Amino acid sequence: MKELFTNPEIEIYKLTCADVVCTSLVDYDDGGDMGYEDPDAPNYDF
Amino acid sequence: MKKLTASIIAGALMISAMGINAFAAEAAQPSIKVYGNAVPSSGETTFSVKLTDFSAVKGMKLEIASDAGLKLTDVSGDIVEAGNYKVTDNKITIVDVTNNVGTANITVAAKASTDIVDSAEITVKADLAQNGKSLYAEGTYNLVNGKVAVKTAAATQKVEKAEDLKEETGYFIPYGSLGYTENGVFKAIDKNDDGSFSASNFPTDLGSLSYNKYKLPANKIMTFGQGESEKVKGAYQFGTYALEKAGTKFGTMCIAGQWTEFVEYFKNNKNMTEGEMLSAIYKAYIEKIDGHKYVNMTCNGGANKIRVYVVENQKQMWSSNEARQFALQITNVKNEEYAAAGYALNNGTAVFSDTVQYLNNK
Repeated sequence: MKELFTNPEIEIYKLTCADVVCTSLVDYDDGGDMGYEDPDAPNYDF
Repeated sequence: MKKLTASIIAGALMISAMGINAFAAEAAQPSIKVYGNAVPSSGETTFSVKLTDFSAVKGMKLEIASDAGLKLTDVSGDIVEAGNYKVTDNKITIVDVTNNVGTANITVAAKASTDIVDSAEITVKADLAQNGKSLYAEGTYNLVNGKVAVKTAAATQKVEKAEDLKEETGYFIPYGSLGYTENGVFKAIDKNDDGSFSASNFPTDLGSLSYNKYKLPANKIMTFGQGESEKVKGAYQFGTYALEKAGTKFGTMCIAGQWTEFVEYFKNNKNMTEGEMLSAIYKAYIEKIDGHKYVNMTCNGGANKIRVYVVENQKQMWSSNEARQFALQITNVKNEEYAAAGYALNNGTAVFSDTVQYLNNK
């Protein structure tokens, strides 16, 4: 066991799955509140 | 953890042709398109190849190939008969001499291996016979790429020497893919402009670190991951990596609501792939948004509904002179589906990531 693991306050962060990338980082674009409802939002029908 | 999307990038459709100009001007142009599934499945999945307006084609040889990360296991469908096809690990060959194929759906079963992160290319090669002696020339029929979503085991790379950890040509390693927590705080290993990672903040136990690398697609932009924010409960982020030369402006389009139904409707009723659908949705958004937060969109006679958000990129998590990494964060997600794809604006046209990230919060 390496020294790093003897310190309980330090934990290697193993990222093995793509979906956790970015989620710890700042400087994202704000996409807004998905719960917000705009009664006047425009409509488009395909 | 919610489901995530991984996707398969489609390859170009290459045609060997000897040929005579193909179809009369008044005839509908034959079309071959590869369609993925709207929702990723784990490991094993299916995708389809759809032929339309094939009445004038007298016979064909189709080769549907995948790269090493995706094994093709079976094929079925309208022109698949006993003895006219062959399945090997990464290629399916179908020979059909039937004269009356108007529309045909071919379903291919596939199994992802563990040595890909989230994408594998699909390449289709077609020889279409005009008669017994000649093939139709390239460009005389419509060829559209497709993709399939699979959830695979991530291909983790071990770090052996910090100095060796650098992006290879044609690949990228996202900033944040490599890091550790200290006192409960995530610390990403610093990423330099040249794609290398700074040894100055590597932890002592280098060998315990792993990371994911991604193959940069031909269109130079990829939305590679999504997940719940570790900082904001109930917030989700969609991460995109793009080369600066992909466009002049960048952003992320997020679709909330009945994503699956929209993809199926566009496939079955409009003969449009997921990528074509994204472009159509973006065009409708630009036409309608007029200062609002989102645009409501419907299809299937109003039965299926989505809300569309387009957010221009303002902040980068990491950037150099040649590339940028950014993410869209959404909050207060409802019990519905979400899909997001990064885009680059190039001469006013939005070029979307071939990979769409999917969140099933239903």
